[in-house]
Amino acid sequence: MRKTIASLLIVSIAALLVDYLSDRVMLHGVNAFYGLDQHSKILLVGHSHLMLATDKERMEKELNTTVSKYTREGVNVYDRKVMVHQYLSSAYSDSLKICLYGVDLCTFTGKELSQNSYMLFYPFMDNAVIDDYIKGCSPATDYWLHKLLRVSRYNDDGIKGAAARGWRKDWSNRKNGVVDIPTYKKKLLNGDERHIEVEPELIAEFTKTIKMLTDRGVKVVLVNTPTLDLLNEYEPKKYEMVVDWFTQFASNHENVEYWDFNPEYSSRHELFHDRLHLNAKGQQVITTEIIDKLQSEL
Amino acid sequence: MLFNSFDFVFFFLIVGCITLLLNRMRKVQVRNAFLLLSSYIFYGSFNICFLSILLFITIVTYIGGLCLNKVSNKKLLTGFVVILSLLPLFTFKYSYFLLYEALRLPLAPDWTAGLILPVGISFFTFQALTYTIDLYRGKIECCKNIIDYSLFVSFFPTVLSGPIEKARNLMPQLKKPQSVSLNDVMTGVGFFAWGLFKKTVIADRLSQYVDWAYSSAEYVSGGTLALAVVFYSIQIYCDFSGYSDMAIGTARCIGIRLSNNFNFPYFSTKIKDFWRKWHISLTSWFTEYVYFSLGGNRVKMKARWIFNISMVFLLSGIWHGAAWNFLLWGVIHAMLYLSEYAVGLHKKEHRYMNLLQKSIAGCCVFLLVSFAWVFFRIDDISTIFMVFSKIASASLFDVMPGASTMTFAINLLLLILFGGCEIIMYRNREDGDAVMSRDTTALYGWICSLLLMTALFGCSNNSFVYFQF
Repeated sequence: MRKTIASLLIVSIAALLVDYLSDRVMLHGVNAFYGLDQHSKILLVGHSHLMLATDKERMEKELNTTVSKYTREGVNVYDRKVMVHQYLSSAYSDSLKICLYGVDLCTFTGKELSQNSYMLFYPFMDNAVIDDYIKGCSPATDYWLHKLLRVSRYNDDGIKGAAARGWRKDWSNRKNGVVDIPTYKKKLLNGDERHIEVEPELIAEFTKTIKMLTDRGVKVVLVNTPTLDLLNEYEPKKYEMVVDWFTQFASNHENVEYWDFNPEYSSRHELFHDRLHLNAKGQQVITTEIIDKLQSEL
Repeated sequence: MLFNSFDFVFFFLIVGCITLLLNRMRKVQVRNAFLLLSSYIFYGSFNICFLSILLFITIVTYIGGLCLNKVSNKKLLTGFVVILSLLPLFTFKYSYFLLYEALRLPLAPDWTAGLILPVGISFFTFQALTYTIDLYRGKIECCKNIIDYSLFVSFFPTVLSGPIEKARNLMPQLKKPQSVSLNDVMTGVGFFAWGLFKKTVIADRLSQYVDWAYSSAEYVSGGTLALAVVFYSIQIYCDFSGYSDMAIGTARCIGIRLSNNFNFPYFSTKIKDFWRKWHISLTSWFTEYVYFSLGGNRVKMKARWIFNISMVFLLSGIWHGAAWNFLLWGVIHAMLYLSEYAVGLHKKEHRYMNLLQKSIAGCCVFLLVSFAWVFFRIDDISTIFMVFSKIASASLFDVMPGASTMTFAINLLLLILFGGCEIIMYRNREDGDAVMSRDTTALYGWICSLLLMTALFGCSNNSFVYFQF
């Protein structure tokens, strides 16, 4: 019996050690990928729309500065507030000057967005801000499982991918295909597209996020990287209403700007991987534009 | 309350501890009453109304068993009990198919379309019937204790998806106190962890690729569909054998030994062997209660033997579901089985083959079985033919990785790891039991590794493939 208990103890300790070390290794990769382990002058916050539209390495090289690209698939306005809070509460935020915040026609549309995007933040559970956020969103059993068993925080393949790419220092956009216009037109004809909604709660969260940044003296640029013209014209009135709202918001707030790349690029279909995301070629075009604009800001 | 949920873990921690305590106190009746209540809570957690079906089957077969001892025409009574027991299964599972699709009756009642199939009905009905038929055949004695008998029908590890235990295996274990050692408990946990790994790390991950490929069969390449066919074979094996391992592990923790349901079926070199190793409890049920009843192979005419074999496979197909694709799946397996006999392959002894011959034969069996699984997975015949025509016409190397290349790469690595584990276990010719109970430290290390891997790579689609049957 004594031998059995000793075996059980030894194996449990070994398992906990493996669990802890695996967490450290993967967390290092994730932090490196999102630039959460460096003092940056520029912070990019958004979802896959901004992720695929910007080339972090080129920005760092040509602007001769450090850029933290904290963009994640499917994050909504609530998640982005947490992301900004996470970075601002870290020891690396003292050098931050500009935050490029990705916006698009569906920024204030909550419907059809992922309801469990909080799971993306599991790797950062040791951070008090994230811990509070997850505690509020997830079932207690899930929370405690991820709290106690560290490797379970990485059970999303996107997170594992970020960790691997962080270690390899690989931020490339691998989307080389071009949007299939006839198929997309068919989809639009069938009415198979997301409708634009403007939800007051999301506007309130967004406003709080911007205030959090400007209160810290950080300049905020609302970046609307291009989406396909066919998508923008699907509900033209609502689309214009959203764009006007961002323009108005920027003009009403000090230290906030709005950059819209749609008028110039949304009709250049060869730059798109799909209706919402740019391909590698599109990324280079928009990155050049962003770098040009940022030259004067830094 | 699925096996791979926290609800079940908490449920089982409580039930397991109390059962072990009652076992130790040797209070068998109290233990069985407690286990029966727990089993009803477990089954009722899916849908409280379904409990009535479980109770109906229990009562019918129990009373039938009591009466069998007293009546002179046992055959008639047994037939009556069997028909009455099969009535709910027939109503819920087959009435709509038979009335609307097979017979195409214009005045068939509408209510049959809205029936929801009670989870596990095929499993507990068949389990209860083993009691009735074995009693009729004089293989077991009548169980007069209604608690013991009800527990046999509704025992929570087996009630949803088997293994379909025979009364002569499970009931004697339920009637006496079990001595359960720490090693038994850890062996049970080992089985459970291995089943959980197969289910959440292999089956559920592959299901995402398979679902994506089949749902967009029109747009994806032939190579992608070919891979989806192979992945589905592995998915269904890991899903169902994973469930069986979890059931076996759960029962083992409280001292009950369930029979093995899978024995490395994909290492079979013959279709005949495959059916000895796949869903063993169902195959042996059909063999014992259908095939032997029809005369088995002790018949004078070869045509009669062919009929017997075909009947078993057709019934096996229909058992899985009331749809043409399941019927077709049964027909294909019957044809494969009979073809093997026709060309004399069944005589070739596995032990006399060299490694190359075994590998070629094994690959052929795997591919044939995978081919048949397509009929099992897709219920639309036109889609099935589209899948095969695309596979036949396209380059097999034109494979699309699905939603994410990263996920695809991880899946391939996990498959290699899983395949390696299966080969090691198979080569050592050990069943899970022998592996689990060899070395305490190795067993604990194995459990911890499985749990860590499950935590890191596991995902869940919140269902088991065999729940629909």
